[in-house]
Amino acid sequence: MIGLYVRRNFRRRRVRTVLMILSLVIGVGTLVTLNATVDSYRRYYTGTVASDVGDFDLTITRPDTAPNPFLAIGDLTPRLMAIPGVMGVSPRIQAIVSVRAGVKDGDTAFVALQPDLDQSGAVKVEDGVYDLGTGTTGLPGVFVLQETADVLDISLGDALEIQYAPPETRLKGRDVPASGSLLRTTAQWEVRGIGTQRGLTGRSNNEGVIVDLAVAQERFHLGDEADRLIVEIDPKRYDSNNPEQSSFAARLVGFAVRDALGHDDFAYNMPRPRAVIDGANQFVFWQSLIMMYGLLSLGVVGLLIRTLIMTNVQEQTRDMAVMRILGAPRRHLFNLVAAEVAAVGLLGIGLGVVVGQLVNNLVVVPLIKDRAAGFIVDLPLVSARAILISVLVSLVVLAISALAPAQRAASTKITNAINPGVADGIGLDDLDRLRERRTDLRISAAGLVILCYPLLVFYVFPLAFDFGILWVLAALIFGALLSLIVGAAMLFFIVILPMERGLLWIIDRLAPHVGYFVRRTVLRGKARNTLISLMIVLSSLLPSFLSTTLALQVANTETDRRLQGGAAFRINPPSSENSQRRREQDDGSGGPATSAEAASTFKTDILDELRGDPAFRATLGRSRSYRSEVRDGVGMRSAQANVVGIDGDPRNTLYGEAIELVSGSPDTLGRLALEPGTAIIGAGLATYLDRAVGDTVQVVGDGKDHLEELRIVAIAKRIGGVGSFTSKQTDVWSGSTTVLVAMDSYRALTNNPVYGPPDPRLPVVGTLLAAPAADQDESKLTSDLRLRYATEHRLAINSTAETIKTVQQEARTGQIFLVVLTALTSILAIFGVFAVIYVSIYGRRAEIGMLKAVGTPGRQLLYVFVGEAMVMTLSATLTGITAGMLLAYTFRLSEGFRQELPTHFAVDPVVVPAMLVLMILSSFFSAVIATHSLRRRRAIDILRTV
Amino acid sequence: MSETIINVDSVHKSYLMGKEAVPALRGVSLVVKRGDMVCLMGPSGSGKTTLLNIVGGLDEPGRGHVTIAGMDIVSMGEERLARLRLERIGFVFQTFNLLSNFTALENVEAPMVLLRRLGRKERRARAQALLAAVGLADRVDHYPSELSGGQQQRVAVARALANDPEILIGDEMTGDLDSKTGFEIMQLVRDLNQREGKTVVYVTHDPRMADYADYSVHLLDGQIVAREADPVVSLIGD
Repeated sequence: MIGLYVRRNFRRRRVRTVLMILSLVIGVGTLVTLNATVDSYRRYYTGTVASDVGDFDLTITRPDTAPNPFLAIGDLTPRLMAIPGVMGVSPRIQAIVSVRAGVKDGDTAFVALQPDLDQSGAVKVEDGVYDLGTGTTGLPGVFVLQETADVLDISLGDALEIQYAPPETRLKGRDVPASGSLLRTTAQWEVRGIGTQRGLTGRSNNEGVIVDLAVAQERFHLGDEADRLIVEIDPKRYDSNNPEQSSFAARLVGFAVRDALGHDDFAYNMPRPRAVIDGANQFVFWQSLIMMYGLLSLGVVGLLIRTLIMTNVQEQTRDMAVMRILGAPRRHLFNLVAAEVAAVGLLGIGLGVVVGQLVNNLVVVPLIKDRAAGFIVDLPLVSARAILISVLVSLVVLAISALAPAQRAASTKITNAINPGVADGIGLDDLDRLRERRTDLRISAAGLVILCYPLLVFYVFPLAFDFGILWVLAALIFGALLSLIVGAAMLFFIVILPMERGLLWIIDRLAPHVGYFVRRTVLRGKARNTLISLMIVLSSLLPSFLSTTLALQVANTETDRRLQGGAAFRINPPSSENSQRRREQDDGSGGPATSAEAASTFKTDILDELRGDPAFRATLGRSRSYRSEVRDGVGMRSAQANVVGIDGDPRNTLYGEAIELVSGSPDTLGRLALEPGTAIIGAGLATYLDRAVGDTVQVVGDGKDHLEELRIVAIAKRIGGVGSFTSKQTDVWSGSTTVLVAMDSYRALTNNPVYGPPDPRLPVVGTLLAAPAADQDESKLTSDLRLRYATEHRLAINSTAETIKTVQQEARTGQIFLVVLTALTSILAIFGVFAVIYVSIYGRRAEIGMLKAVGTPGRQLLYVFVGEAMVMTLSATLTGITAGMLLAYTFRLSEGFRQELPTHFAVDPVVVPAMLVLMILSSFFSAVIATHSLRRRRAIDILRTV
Repeated sequence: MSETIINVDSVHKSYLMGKEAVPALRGVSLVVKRGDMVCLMGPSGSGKTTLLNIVGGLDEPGRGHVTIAGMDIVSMGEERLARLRLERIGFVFQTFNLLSNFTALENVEAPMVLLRRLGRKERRARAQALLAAVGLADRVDHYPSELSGGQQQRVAVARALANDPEILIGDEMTGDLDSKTGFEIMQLVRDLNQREGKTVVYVTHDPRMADYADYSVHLLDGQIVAREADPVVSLIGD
């Protein structure tokens, strides 16, 4: 009986059935595609990151406190190979070496490996061959990575002189001696190939040279030794869709290796499993964003199915009442509807999974592989995780959408068959029910909703944060965003009516005879409008919000970065943190940086060279921040602050807009560097201490009883690039406010007076800010500076223009992603629009028949229905767009207010217009298609079927 | 002698029921003079509604000729037929078929909007006058759901008269109404027929409603079997 009901319904209501299945296919397909995309991208990203840190499962090195930095290959390899889970062992020598090619020389990475055995990473040959054997000149072959080849002008066939020094060792608890002399060995190689690598050197860049291990051992007199062993773990250990699980499984092998070799003489590092787990955590947020989009899309699908099934039920009320007369229990009627939805769901979800997976396999994976630029990326085509998540979410949405129609079917009254006219009134059964006192579930539900807020604030969020459950945090954040979207859509719902009136006013002016009919139906057909409108508002709000946020980001990036960065160039010497990271990449041991590398101020000669560079119009040296305390001098108020010294006039170097004084003459900026004992403080600190220009503050200096009295010469709201000067007192409370002083004052403060006066020659410039000369191209200058200073002196060159470009580029990439998501949600919205218009028109057949009977031309009918659809759809879309834009502006303005940044107004030029066009087209075609058959049929034929 | 306004000549019409063609009209001929009030009667399946629909230009005959006001409607296209209906024929249905989102006034106004002959004020005034004529002057702003069945049918009658048609077609106009209201509606139509000279063709099952017609045409199995003149005086005024 149930099967018969479902089959008949499918046959009799083909359009609706096809609509439901198609919408499910697209909804589920979208969700599967998005999930699979994230999954594929996560694998790609993990692979890429793993490649950047080294495509190494496990690296074994000697700690730098070991007397001998080398490992005996012949002894360790068999021991390692005997451990279960170890698939291979590749010995290597990796170091930073000096390379000379003709007249040019420089430092670069050096990798000596066994090419037949070492399978880590991949090499892409741009020129020559990847052959480390003997070349035509009789010299052994070397493969040079592209960046090194470019910097040192290396070509195929060149002879390369490599100078190698063995790793430095130190005594436990002591630094490496700064003046330690090392035994350096030099040997020659012939360049046989130039190209790029991924995952081979353990570095993200393409600097370095690769040689054969045996040759290196022989040339550098090292014997059968290496400075590291790369252990390949059985790939089956990673064979899990759960990244955490697979990483921990690989780590078990790591533990087994440590148990076998011991932990005193060896250092272990597992870069690849670490990248896998870190990458997975990062993608939890992506997954949540996708899920939010997916839920919105499926929400639209659910609404559509609910509408169509409800229409089916309403149309069959009489049949169901007859079934009740015949003795069918209520649950049977419930089951009829449930079975119909289940059948639709089975078909729709099944096909959706196939479509989604096909899109992923045929479009997404090839795109990602293409992006991998020829390097082999292991991307499985079937993502069980993506399918499982999508199917589960779809089933829940389907069950929710089926509930109301099924309940409605189950509550069919027998009177519907006997006397439909009075069926909606209160009957004896109802009276009986109304007399009974029942628990009001709405009060409990309201209580639960109210409880959600404190529960989240007091329990869920702290627990998730304390235990570091990222997916819960991500779910909470995106759940909040989803609530924001839904809440805003509902809040802005009141705007729809004025929007509709506005559009109707336009139609009235353009075509009054159409507007007459459209106005009355649109403004008075309450139930249908609410449904369609809310659905469209939701569909248009999120893309509008995200795209406007991006547009604002693009429009404001330049100002934001200029105000925050302060100057066109920001040059830093190698810091201890950088060195630490570099060292981790170099040998994976994670050991401490050497004292030589820990220098965080410029060497005088390099600083002079940079300052004398004609490419710069002006430079400004700033010291590192000195953490201190600022007092009012009478012991009432004090605050933690960062003292920064400068050695010139900031106005010459910084962008004009990056300087904003609240009080004090701009000239004081020029005099500050020349007048020790003066200071510029932030507006927030001035307010907190209640000090004005001309007043003094005390700053605590290094050593005991060391106080410097500084006179305030200006109060700033912003001086970009040299510190934090805001009007917010929260910055003062958190101790992040800056006190700007002359470099001499800085030296005096950071010097303990007990040891005598400060040394004026002591290098204290930690950052050099620079403005390019008028004729300089910033992009080219950045490349030149990097070529000259980054490789040899390890200086970090930051260009504000480059950062702006990068951020804007990323925003544009995000825009493409958004356009795709918008298109997908719009397709679903189109289905929604079509379904609702179809159902609406189907329900108004009598009206249409009558209108045709009294002589309404088919064209007029079309105009009326297209007009109705357009007004309803456009008003809701415009409402969603308005709400989304307002939300985005609210976020940006509050962010700007918080960071004291101005806001440049911007409108998204792609997503919002695309959405409008899609909605106009969808409403037009929905009305045309939905009325097509009715327009063609004669009035009498329509009236006969009503 | 009055001129012929409807001329049905040897009209045949069949419907396909499954794979079988079932004749609904078999060579029916009927002439209706301007100002006549004609009732079509007969048992279910006799073909009376089919004939009414053909006379009203809603359906087309399989064979034969139909002229309305001298125009052959068989050869007319759909759009021209629609125009004819809009200008010359008014319809009253058994189930009223009022636009649910339109007030009584707007329902009456709708055909005038479609015809686009009158301005907004004139339309409104005419719609109000028509509603007043059918006794609904105080219900102009009510929606169909706020009106009784009889009142809805009065609105339908007023709407049928909106473009001042020459012919009024009624399909079981009183079928959904109680007897008293049904008589009121028929009286209203009869008054219009007599006062304004409208030609009325209507279908009914109820012999009491047939008494309002100048004459009744009886159909059986798709053929006219009798035509009887029936004085209406006996019921008028009851």
